[in-house]
Amino acid sequence: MKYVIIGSGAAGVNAAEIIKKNDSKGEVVIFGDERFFPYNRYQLTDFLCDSIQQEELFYISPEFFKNIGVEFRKGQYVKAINPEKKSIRLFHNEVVYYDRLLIATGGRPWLGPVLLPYKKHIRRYYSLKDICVLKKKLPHIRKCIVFGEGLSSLDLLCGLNKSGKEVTYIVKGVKPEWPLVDPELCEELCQLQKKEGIKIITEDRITTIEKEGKHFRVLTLKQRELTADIVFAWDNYKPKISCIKGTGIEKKTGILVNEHLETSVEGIYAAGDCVEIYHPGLKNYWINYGWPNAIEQGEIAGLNMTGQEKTYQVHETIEFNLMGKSLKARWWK
Amino acid sequence: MKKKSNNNSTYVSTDLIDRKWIDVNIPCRTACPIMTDIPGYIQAIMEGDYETAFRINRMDNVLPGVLGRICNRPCEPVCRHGRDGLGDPVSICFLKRSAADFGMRNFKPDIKPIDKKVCIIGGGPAGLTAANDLALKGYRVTILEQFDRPGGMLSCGIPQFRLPYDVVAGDVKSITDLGVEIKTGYRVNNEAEIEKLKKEYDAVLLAGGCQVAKVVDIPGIESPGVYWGLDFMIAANRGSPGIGNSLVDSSMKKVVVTGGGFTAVDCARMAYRLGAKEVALAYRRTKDDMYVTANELEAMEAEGIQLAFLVSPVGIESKEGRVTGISFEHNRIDKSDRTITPIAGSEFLMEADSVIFAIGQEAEEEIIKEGSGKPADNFFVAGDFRSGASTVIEAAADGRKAGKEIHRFLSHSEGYRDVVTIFEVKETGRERAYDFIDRQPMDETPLHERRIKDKEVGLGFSKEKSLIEARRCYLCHYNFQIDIDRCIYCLACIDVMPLDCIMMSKDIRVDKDGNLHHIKTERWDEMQAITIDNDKCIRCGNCVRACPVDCISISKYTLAPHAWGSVEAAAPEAKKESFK
Repeated sequence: MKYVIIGSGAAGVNAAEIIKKNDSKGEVVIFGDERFFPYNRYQLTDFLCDSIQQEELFYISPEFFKNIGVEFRKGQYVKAINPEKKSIRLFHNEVVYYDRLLIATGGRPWLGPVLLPYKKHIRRYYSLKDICVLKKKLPHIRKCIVFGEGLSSLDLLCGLNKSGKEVTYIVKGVKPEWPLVDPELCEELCQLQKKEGIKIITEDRITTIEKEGKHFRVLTLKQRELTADIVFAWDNYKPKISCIKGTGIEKKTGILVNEHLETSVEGIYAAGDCVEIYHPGLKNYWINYGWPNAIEQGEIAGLNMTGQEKTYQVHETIEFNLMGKSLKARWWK
Repeated sequence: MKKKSNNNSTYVSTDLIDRKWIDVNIPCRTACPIMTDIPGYIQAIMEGDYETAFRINRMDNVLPGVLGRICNRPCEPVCRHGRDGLGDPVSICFLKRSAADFGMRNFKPDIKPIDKKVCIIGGGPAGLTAANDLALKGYRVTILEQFDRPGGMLSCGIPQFRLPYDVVAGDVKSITDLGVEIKTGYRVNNEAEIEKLKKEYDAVLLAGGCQVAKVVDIPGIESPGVYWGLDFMIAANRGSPGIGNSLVDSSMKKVVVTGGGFTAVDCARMAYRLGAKEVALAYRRTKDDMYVTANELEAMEAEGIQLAFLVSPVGIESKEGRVTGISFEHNRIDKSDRTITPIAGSEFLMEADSVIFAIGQEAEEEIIKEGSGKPADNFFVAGDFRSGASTVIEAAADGRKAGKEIHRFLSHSEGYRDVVTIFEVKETGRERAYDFIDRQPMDETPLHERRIKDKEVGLGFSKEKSLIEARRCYLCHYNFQIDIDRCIYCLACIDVMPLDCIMMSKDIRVDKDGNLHHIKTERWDEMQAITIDNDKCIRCGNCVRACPVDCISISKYTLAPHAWGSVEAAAPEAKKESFK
């Protein structure tokens, strides 16, 4: 049996380990699109602020995959899946066949239709590569603009503030909102940001970004004109699932799966941040962003791919650590 | 049958194999319901000749200004430039608009009048196209339009921020310039009135469109604040009391639209323009199932309209005579047949002070009963009235079909055969560098001006941008062939091809559908020829430039415009003479 896993994040790596444990003769191949071994994404800001060294980000050693008998192919982008031929196609057109496939591609910030035309002026804050580039630029930067929601914005604001930068934070809503269970905590964090000197602009959004010499001129919907040395912006954080185009795999924002984490196409499973599943407690479809979810879903998908029938149970909330502070998120485990 | 004209490099053909070549090799043209000569007009733009680009467009597709804005673009997903590894499809629709923006001229061909009268009920895309085609044949055509201006849904259903009235008026004028009379404010209500028209005219075409909103029967549906999509759009477009700006501005704050088509998206975007603070669009299936273009979706998302998928309405909540919200339940998609089933216990409420249902339209049943209009009769039906709600280009294509049926009926001819004209050329005018140009985005009205109700969002390409975008087109109407008598099998063409489109072949087989299959070989002993697979070819011209013996020929294949150029089967020879 040949198992192919697309994505080398927590879900993909955990699934590979579980599969190998349950089917030692099975061949397992993981494709990761980044050029690094799996690393802790939530520690990237610590690395940016020099609180930790780059080596400390990696939670898996190069020997790990060799020891468990899994082939790990990094820097390999999967551009298409062909369920009829049970194959995937890589960016360089190599075709790899599978018997069982796991999609664990995670999520990433998306620019959306308004910001997309200004892509070349926008600095990404998502991957280790982004942070490495940013780290070199940071000493030459004074004024920063951040536009975007989600916990990564909170993380970024903390990082920039800690590095002594002048930060303006623009949000669409009447106040900054992070996906935290306790609304009072949001308010508390907001006040903390202001106290730390972060300028917060509410009920507005970036509509235009123009380069003027070494700086950027940012225009907003409410006709504000701002300048900055660097602009971080994203519209939303969404699953990264372009590889399923044309496959017939049902999706909403994320890949729709059943309680066994199987997609609408037989033999293809999905786990982690790229998955969307109906949550009876919330009475809604929900994307289970977060590290612990990815670990658990990777395990369940891995077990089910080897022939077991494990059911994914939804949980209410999750506690996690942000820059040393324990927070409760509105996620489910 | 292939015939050479007096110009040695031009052939006129009615061979089915040449017609098939167009179907297989010009995918954009084949996907267009009205078979617009897309590479023809794009090449004219590439050469800076917007007038010719407009003329080519106008001959195939009678509403170039309109369709350059609101076509659902079945051509773009099949564009060869969008295939894997080749980039993005050409902006065919926007280029069509450029042809109209910069090349629109009076369209007055010589017409030989025929003393026969045709009445068309409905001045929408189907009626206008049929009127155009019949007027070109010489018939005296009268359109009866129920609203105070022609265009059907183009004038009253589609919002001005997508399609300004003056654009519709411009395209309509080019049809009335052919002698077509349009009587506005003239409504045909029933069969008795149709019977009267049938006696008065030699032929009557009913192209009344689909103007009745489909309704849903859920609790609370009668509550004030619930609107039907098409009625809402007509009222909002015309600014009538009840939905006009002044009343809505003060009351419409939270709006939920249900539906997944153009009307639903138009309603949501119109509500945003009418002053709603929060607008959401809810659809029972997924985003991929929505029947709108990617552009409309992007514009809607840019305007901040929230989207909810896999939800179906189950009830309307109201308080003190006004809608307060709409209840939905979540759906699940069945993996075997993609049917949707509600998830038990998944009901939830979306707060709203206005709810708009845009779940489809249908024809007015009382105008005509099913089965009326016998084949021998002089009565015909076309467009959405015949086939149900469709797109503008599909309705126009159906109008063309009806026009042909009427002409056949009135002239007692047997039908049409397509004519393919083949021109031999030395070069295509393209350069390899053009293949690497990115798709050009169209400028749009800035977001802070999007609340202005009638301000058009798409601003069109500048001449410079249209020229750059036109260069991206592979010009698939060019057929590259290797003359095996002159080929020296040096394989220079294979060395320089960017794709796997030239090969050593042991055979080319033609299947029953006329498709060509190149049987590739690596062995010199069984190789019969070096061949070019035109389906894979991106017309880069590398092979022609590399060939040391000039054995690769290029011919341009064009189909005569349907409205007037096709050969009538009854008199094919006579028509062909005109090419001499």
